[in-house]
Amino acid sequence: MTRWWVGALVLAAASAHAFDVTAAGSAAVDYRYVSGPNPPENPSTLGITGLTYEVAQKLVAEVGHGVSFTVKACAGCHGLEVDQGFGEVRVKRFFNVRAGRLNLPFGEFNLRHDPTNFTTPSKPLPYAMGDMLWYGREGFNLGIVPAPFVDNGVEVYGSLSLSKKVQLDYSAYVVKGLVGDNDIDWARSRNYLDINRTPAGGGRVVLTGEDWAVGASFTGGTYDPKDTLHYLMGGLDLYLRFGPVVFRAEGLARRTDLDPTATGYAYQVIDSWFLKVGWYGQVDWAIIPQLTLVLRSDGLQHFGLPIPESSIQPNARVLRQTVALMGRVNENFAIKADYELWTVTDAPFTARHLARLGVVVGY
Amino acid sequence: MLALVLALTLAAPPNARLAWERKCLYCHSEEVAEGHRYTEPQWRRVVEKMRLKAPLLISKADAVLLTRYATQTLKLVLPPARPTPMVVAPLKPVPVDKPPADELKTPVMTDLPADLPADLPPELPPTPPDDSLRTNADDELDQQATALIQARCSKCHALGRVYGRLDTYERSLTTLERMRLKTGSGITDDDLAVLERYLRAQF
Ligand code: HEC
Repeated sequence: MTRWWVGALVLAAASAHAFDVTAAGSAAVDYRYVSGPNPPENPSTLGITGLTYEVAQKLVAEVGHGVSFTVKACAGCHGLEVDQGFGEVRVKRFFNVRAGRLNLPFGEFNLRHDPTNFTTPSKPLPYAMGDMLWYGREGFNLGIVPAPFVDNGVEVYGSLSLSKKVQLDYSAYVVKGLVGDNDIDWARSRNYLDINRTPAGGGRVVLTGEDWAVGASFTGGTYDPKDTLHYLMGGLDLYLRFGPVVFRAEGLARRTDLDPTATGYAYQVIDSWFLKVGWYGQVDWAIIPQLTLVLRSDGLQHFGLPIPESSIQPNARVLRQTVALMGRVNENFAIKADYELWTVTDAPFTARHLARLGVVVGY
Repeated sequence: MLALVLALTLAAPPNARLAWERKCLYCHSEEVAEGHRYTEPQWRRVVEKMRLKAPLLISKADAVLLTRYATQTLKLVLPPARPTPMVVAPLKPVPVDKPPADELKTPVMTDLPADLPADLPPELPPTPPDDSLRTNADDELDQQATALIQARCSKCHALGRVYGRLDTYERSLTTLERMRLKTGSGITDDDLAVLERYLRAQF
């Protein structure tokens, strides 16, 4: 119910002009064409094969004295959802608090999950959701971490100067945690009510300099109603900028307990957990301010027992190579296009060529 | 005509053209920015109005440069207003035998030609900033701030819609503060000090 509270508060603030309200929004439409017979499908709320959309609207009300309220609603593959709904108090540069429905800072990409904030038409594989090939439980069952990583809880965060140019940012949080049924279910993880007693926790630290940043993230908790199945995730990320060229790389991993009492495993259960590792390396070159060329290589590697529904083998791997272009028509409007080559090993899927064309509007 | 504009464009100092492209063609096309003719004071007011839409993109010094570029390089100027309808709308000449009645009645002795929007901010000074009082330190601050905004904001904003949002001093400051505290923003105390000084000069 908290979401209606926060929403009503911000709307009241907006209509009363009592506070300074900043509105921002975005909309993205993406069409993908997959080569070969029987292409894997993705969820399309529009009912058109290969076509997805995402719209989001955000309001930030600044109340004064460093207090603000943020609400962001978005609609996409899963209908209308509240992506953010939190209050925030900026106390000191090194100590600040936000509470409510948060976007957790896990990995570098998560902060940039809005389509106006990244240059490719698709998300990197560790963060891939329904736009991934073979994303279902019969395949790889999604990436490592959802983007956005939405959860309810409290976060403290801040920034410490280490020298004139170098600073250390941190964030630590206690939240409801991911939810699932013999492996994590991202859609159910976004429900408002918790399903178990143990909260989840996590944090992120980033060391930043003039044109570089290195970060580390971790989180963990239990994801089943009985509090017996654990997950643990960690990630490392790197950002480098050389004038118009930006290089980013991330490696993320998740260890997830499986239910040893479940039936239907294709292999004998020795260790009842699996490890999934995901990574990407990406170069963005702004050839001219209006046009960015992107080269990206990403992948997802599974180790250990596959879930019962899955047809992949224990060491299955998916790799993708991408060339993308993003053209900014003006400050509000951009066109994204790419070509992706998907290859798989140790899974009964065939390599695919994929092309995407997307339009992004932001204001 | 096109050739003339092209020739003049090429003859202009390269950084003025670049500034025009980067700043005036940031939100709209050439048709909008170059499809109008105004007198010089009117250009100053149009550019000032545009500057207030995106003060972090178009600094006060830019406004002077860009006004000069529109009037002297692109020569998108009207001769000083005379009470004839032909001068009011030179791009769509009115047949002399049948001038529209209301256009004839419009007094054209003021600054405003027919196609200048009426919603210019009333608080605008009649003579917008002039660069005679500027120092090298001001220019340095402008350059430093512009480079900072580009480097820091583009780390996360691929679309560059940041400029249109930072349209008042208070909002710009609180937004910068919120963005700075995004984990990993890389915006330092020094950066913020530069941006604050720059913002104070822009509003
Ligand atoms: C932040 C975005 C933005 C920037 C930057 C911008 N403009 Fe505009 N411009 C607009 C909008 C929006 C309009 C439509 C009219 C309005 O809303 O005032 C407009 C309209 C115009 C017009 C049509 C006349 C009018 O006032 O409506 C001219 C001429 C113009 N701009 C010139 C310029 C010049 C010259 C520059 C560079 C100094 C510039 N613009 C920079 C957003 C911008």
